[in-house]
Amino acid sequence: MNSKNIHRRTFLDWLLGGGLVVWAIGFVAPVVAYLWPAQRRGPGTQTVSAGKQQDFAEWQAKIVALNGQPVIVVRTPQGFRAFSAVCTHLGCIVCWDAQRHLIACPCHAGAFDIAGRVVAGPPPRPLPEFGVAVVNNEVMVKSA
Amino acid sequence: MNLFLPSLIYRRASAALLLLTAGSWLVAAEDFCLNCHDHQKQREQFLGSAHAQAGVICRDCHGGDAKAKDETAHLAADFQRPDNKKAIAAMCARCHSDVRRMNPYGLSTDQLDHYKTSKHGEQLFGKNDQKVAVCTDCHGVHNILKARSPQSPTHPSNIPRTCGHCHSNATLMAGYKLRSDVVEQYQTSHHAHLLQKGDLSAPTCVTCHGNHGARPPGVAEVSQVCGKCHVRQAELFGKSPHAEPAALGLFGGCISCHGNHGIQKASLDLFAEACVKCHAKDAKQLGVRDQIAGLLRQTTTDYESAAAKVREATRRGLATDDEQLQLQEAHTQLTQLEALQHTLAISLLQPVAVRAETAVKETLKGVAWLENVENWKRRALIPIWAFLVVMAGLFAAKRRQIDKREGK
Repeated sequence: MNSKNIHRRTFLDWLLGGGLVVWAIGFVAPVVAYLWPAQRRGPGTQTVSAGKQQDFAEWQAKIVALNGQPVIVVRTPQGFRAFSAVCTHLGCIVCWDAQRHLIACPCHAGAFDIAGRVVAGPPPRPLPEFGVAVVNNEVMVKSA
Repeated sequence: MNLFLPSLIYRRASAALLLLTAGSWLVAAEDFCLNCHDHQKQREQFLGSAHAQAGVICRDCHGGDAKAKDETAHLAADFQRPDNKKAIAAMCARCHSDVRRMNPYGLSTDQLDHYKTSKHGEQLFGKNDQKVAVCTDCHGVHNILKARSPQSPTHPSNIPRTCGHCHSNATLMAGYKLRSDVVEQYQTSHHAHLLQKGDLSAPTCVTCHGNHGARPPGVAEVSQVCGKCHVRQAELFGKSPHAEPAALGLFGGCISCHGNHGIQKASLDLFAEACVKCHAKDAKQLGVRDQIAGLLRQTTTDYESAAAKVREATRRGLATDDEQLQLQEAHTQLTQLEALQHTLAISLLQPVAVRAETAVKETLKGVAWLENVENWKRRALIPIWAFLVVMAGLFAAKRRQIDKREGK
């Protein structure tokens, strides 16, 4: 009878101990996550890599996603430039016209120059520009 | 904040006022006509006009010798007060056809030539019709303003009203067998809605008809006129079987389906209304119509349903960045499809529709995955709550045990 009581008590203590450990982990984990160095930034000033510098030939472009929005990155002889890849006319995703060195919209023949200015077609506004920096040979595009 | 700003604004405003006053005084001083012909209204109108700002004085248009005391000398040989519209056109053209005089203002000097090719000009110079519009009917007389001035009758926002002065006059239009409801129709159009919203690049009467050379475009020219703005659609229309009859003037091109003055934003209903106008008994062509309409309807419905799902997921707080990107791709394909339909070529439409469909599927797959994760998270609440209940039970049992041990 006595040994049966001792077993039950020990079992109860184990369960409680285990539960308290899980409970403690639940409390400590967010604190550790907060103290740990940030691995990624929030959506406000997100930065994305467009690839290695050598992946881009001169007058070559690439579309990357930044905060859920397409961004076109172009390598010009003067350096890299990045613009929103959403046409300011009806919101189509633009593409790079390597022959004419223009950002072209496939929907209604809108065209933007390498400064994002409208040079042809119906777009009412220029393409918003994004910041680009080459960090350790990596082409980084910044949202703000 | 710049503390000097108010004083800077004040100084600049004072300088501008001084310049304006001095300008008006100079014009008045130079223009001896105003010493006697002091028509207050005309004087005020003229002093506020673009001509007064450019230093033009009464004598530049009316001639005569304002300094002469004697009336005969006063009304010198070159004095003129045009009493017919041909003379008005000639009077304006004296400066406005002079390249040297117009160069500093960047104004074209072929306005009279254009006017002579217009329906107005043809009537005036060909038939001496004094009821047609001439320079002053659209631009004003003494109060002429630059077209970029919002008060000017030739400012884009005022063009429909300016043309409507004559073209909404049923009695006047009846004499030319013209409709008098065209401006009224225009005011209901998609173009007018854009203009009313403040888009000054929106088409007005002169965009399609021309200004000084205003005339209705011929049937064969319609596609060119619309194609000035709708470049892509015109290019694709040029590849369609409709292009040849349109170029030959056998078919109205754009306006046959979309209408002209009261043009509305195109909808899928247009397929039901427009094609039958010419192809009512043509089963083969109606089959093509049904295929194109079906493709567009299906893609539009799928896109809209995916867009609604993404909106709903975003509203619920799910991170839909990737799905929005896919949706944008679907939107691009759908917009391309809407332009491509002008070719009437199923072989060109099909691959674009497939690409749109793929993007829609990817979007829906992404949303489904996000919803699945969300559902799992919700289900995970059950074991968490169970754990809390078990823990509460264990604590209660432990307390009972301690109480029993201590003999309470």
